Amino acid sequence: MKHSIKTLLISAMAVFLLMPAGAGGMTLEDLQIHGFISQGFLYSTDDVNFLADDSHEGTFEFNEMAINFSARPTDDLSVGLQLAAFDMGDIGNDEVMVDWAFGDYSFRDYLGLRAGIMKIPFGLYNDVRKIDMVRTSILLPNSVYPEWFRESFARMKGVGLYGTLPGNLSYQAIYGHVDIAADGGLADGMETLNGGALGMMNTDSTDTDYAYAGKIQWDSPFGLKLGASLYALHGLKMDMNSTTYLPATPPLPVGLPLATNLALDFEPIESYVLSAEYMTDRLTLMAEYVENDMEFTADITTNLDPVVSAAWGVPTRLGDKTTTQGYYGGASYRVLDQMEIGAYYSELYYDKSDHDGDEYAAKFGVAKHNAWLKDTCLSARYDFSANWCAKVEAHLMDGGFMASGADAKNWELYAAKLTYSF
Amino acid sequence: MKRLAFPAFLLAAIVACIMFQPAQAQAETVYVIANINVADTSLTQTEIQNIYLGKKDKWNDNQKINFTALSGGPCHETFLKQHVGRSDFQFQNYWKKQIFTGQGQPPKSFASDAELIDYVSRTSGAIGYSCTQPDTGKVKTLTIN
Repeated sequence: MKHSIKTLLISAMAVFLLMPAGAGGMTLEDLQIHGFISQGFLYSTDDVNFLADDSHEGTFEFNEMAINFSARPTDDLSVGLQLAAFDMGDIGNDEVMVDWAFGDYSFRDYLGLRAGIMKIPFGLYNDVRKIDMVRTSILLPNSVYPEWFRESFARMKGVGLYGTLPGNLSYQAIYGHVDIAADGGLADGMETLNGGALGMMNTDSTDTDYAYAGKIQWDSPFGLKLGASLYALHGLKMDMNSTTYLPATPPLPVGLPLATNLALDFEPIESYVLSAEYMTDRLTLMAEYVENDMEFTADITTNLDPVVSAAWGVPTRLGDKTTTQGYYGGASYRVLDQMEIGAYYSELYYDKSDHDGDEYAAKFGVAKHNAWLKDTCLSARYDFSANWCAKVEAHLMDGGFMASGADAKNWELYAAKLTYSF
Repeated sequence: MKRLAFPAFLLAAIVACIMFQPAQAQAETVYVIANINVADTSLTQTEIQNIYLGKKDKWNDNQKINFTALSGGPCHETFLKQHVGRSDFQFQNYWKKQIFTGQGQPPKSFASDAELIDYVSRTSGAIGYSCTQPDTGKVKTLTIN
């Protein structure tokens, strides 16, 4: 089923790529159709892998695409659907998913109701993460928008309210269910975190109870935008396993197979972000601050007798509690009508009370610098037309949080991307 | 050698900033127009901005607003700068964000003032703008406070 949708999507994109299209997309009577396709390239130095397993060799496993259909059956009601796919190393793998699909009824300017699958409003850019052509940089600051975890923050199935209140204060609130993919970025991150103690893990299944998100934003008449957002995910559970062999010990000629099961149970994951953006004719300044509260316990069982497991040093329980912290400041400037440059500086810490990484190193048995990621980014964008844009970007990195194989404390990341949209 | 790549990138960005100076949009008088049957006679600056950002989609009598725009040109750029607080590129970017998150559709756009005025005159609840003096027998001109 996934492949048939994928074939349809790629065929549709190919047709639109070959057709002359205006920036406003196509209108078939009342049906609006829009889409985009982005192909990127990543290269990281010093044998560090970031976002993809082989980024240190250079990788094209870095693309996004989507197509959407929307219509307005009545003056107050609109309906729409977007199919999307992405690839980022081990996650995404170009599998087509419903990115959003909802009905929207607008009662008044101050009150509208949505129901279906909606993008989660969080910070300035969470709901437009995969839409490359609406920003200057290729990668959003990882401090507030960690790429590996973006699908965990992407969409919610449920109901929502929105509107604009007097004083130009707009709001969005949604409540519902969030699916966490067993092969997604969050599961991948937890496998890495627990893999240090238990060997290579694989996530079998995930489950969640409910989630909610809200955002308020004030838009001033002079280009300043201030916002605050909250997102909470309740009842996240993950089931992981690993299979290894214990070292051979006499009288056994070979080691015993050790099958380990890990049942992770999360306390509610709560995140908030404060946002500010100032926009003039050609200059945009932005800054955001985020904290994420995360606590989990993991009960461990094996195929061996508990006494034997304990004798081999297999723990019965793992867990951690942390408040991750991130912030960035950045600017972009439209140098020419077709060209824009931008820069940001971003810092991300696994634990806001452990900036120097001492506790992290002791807890997980890795180097201190894996507890943070400090990123200085420079970007350049060129718009060939309203439909085509190209970008290049360089990152000067300090730290290895969320980078695999990051023995190097200081490394660089380079990215390029070409996008077509209609 | 590879450590030189980042400084080279930084240098190229600075040079680009210094070399390229943006051209300024020409100032023009922009008339904000509406269909004759629209009851409102004036809008605040915030209201017209919110109409063109899709945050306000109803007139004060709850009639649906059909907003229109020119597809480009000096009049379009002046209108966006004066009443929406955005450049044409920023305006297009904003609507791409709305389109790809399902939160709205951009204004219906026209290549010329004449086409836009003709559409506004024929469409209930329509609003638009023009840099030529509109025929008050066909459309009404709104006051912006």
